[in-house]
Amino acid sequence: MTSMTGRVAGSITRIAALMRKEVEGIIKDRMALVVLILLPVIITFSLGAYQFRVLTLADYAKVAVINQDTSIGDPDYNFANEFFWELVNNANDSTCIVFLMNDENLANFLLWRGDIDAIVVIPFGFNSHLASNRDPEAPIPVPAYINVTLDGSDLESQGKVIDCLTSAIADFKIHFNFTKDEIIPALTAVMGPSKEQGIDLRVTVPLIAPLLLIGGIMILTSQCIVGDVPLRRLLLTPASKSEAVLAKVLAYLITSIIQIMIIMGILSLIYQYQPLGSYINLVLSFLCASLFGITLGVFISIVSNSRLQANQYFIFAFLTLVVIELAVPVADIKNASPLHMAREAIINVASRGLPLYYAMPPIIGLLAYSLVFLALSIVAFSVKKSVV
Amino acid sequence: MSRERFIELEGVQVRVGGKVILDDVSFYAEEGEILAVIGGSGAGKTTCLRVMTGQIRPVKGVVRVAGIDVVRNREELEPLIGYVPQLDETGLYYEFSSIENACLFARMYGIPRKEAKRRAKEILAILGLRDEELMKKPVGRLSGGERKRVSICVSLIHEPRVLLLDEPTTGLDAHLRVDVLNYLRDINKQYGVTVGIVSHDLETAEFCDRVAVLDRGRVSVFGEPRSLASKVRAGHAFTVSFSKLNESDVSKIKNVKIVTGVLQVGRKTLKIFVRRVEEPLNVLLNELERAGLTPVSVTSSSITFTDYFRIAATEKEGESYFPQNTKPV
Ligand SMILES: Nc1ncnc2c1ncn2[C@@H]1O[C@H](COP(=O)(O)OP(=O)(O)OP(=O)(O)O)[C@@H](O)[C@H]1O
Ligand SMILES: [Mg+2]
Repeated sequence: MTSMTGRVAGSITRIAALMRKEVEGIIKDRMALVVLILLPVIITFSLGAYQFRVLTLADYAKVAVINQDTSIGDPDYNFANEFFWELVNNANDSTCIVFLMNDENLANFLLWRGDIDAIVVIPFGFNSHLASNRDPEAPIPVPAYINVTLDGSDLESQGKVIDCLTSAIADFKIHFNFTKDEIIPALTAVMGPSKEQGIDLRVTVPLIAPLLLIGGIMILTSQCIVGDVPLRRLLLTPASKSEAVLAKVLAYLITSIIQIMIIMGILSLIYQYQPLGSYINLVLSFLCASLFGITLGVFISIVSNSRLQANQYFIFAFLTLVVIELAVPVADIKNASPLHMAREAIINVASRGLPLYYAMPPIIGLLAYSLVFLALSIVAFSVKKSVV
Repeated sequence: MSRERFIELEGVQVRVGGKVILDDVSFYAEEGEILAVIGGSGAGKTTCLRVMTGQIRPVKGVVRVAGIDVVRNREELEPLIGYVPQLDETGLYYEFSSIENACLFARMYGIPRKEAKRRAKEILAILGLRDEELMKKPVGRLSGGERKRVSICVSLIHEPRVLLLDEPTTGLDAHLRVDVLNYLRDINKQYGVTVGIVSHDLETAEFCDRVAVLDRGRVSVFGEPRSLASKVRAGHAFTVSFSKLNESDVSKIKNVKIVTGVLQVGRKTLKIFVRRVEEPLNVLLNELERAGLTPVSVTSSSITFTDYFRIAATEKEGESYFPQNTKPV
């Protein structure tokens, strides 16, 4: 009995010492520090950088306005011109540049080439329709359409153009006392999905964070055994292979906690990002994603025979995860993918604000994957021959 | 009264992928002795060590180290042996300092850090490294000789009963080679640890109590270097240099009456073995003069295991004493 407890105590000292060695090794490894700290800093900054960046011409959406209206309306006002100036007045606030063009074919060509981001056509009848709407006798308003063509491949510019358009219409209506749907923009997005989408940290965090956490830690863990040559001599001491694997996993888990703190710090302090649910649940989800990355990386490191091979396996495994997430249209496969589980877990706790109880399935899934890879690692390592 | 046999291989055969790497290998060392296993590249020296440390299982034979049947009870052996691998990078964390490496390995045996530091400093001092700054430098920034000694220190940190070293002197300059071997003698005396040294260098055997020579996976010679040296049929040996030397000169010398053997040790230098006679130097010089040869310098030398081995090798082949590439012009 005492020899049993003695053995456990010995095992714990060894794991602690191996862990300490691992963490110290990570701190001494510059590449590891770059991956662990610089990479999340850069990526997380770029996630929210649109709030702070200095705008250049390239950031503005270019809107060409084509006035085709020659109809006669109100004798005092040219509504088409007035509307153009409302667009111009609102352009800057919406990060747009608005200008007049004559040739519709040329404008379409420029849009196709990506030189401009939208075309606003004021069609024939705009003036006359609006003038008739101002007649107090008129029973129902005759709407004046404007035709808007958007660059569907660029979600960001779509948002800017629509913002500019909406503000201009609102100002125009106030200016001329229009109170109903007298002006209707007809939107057409070409060259991309037609649905309007905004960019929000609640969308990008669940998308990017799992990639960052899983990929970032896998870069390191996929090298941690194949690259640890002296470990073979350590294994001639009473240290066992499973102790070595456990120590590595625990050491990288500590590393992940630091990484998660950095990401959370940037998101919440600089971008005022707030998950809808509790911070603890979000950190827990992040940690599960990291644990999966660690165990998969350790497994790769054990089955690889060289550092290069481990790198190739890493890239392969990571790309597979990404491809499943981005390109596989089968929902069942996607739902079984650990990367998707991580994303779901974060959406659940941070974007939907679900309590942990309802958010559990993807978290349990990630833990199950981690345990499987941990067990596989220990088995694979125990059958792997290593000699000094 | 012989002491316990502390390293013992008996009829060991090792196969890797159907190829026999060690065949019927038997040798031993008693407790507290230094054993040398000598052999050329690929002779199977490292394999021998891996068998002794339980990393490779022999298909035949018995391996006992520190009183433990290595094949059956490998785990019991772990605290009793120290192993210095052939390449330092396979046994040391280069980004850590000597002391940090020693502490890490010590923790594997449950030795407290403080005690580990004390021991590391003590061992490094015996090995001739006393500079505290040096002990704090990352091992990767040490010289090859310093690093080798750190590796030896690390494998001694848990006070093993048996220390096994794979080519500890390879890659060091002649001066350091002798130093390291002398330090190992000191370690052996101070801690009473039984030492097994693998080397491709015959001279290593001179420092050892027992030597086994491996030749393509088989033991060709095994014994105590001193008693093997005494088998050389000679009473005296002289190292003699000439101003010029060719093959016919050498055969002339071999035919001199009192000469029992000749070894080429330099381009124009021979080691000449002579029968036990009165005033051997005078007799030899007279005989050489009669043969028409005038030496430039003569020094009296001792007869060593290396001589025994080289004479045995040349007698077997029955060839010229000149190796192909050192023939005089
Ligand atoms: N894993 C292996 N698979 C196949 N052959 C092997 C293996 N390990 C060793 N050998 C062969 O066994 C022989 C002995 O190898 P070993 O490493 O013991 O030689 P050595 O005497 O230590 O040589 P060196 O002085 O170069 O270190 C060599 O011919 C080698 O090619
Ligand atoms: Mg070798």
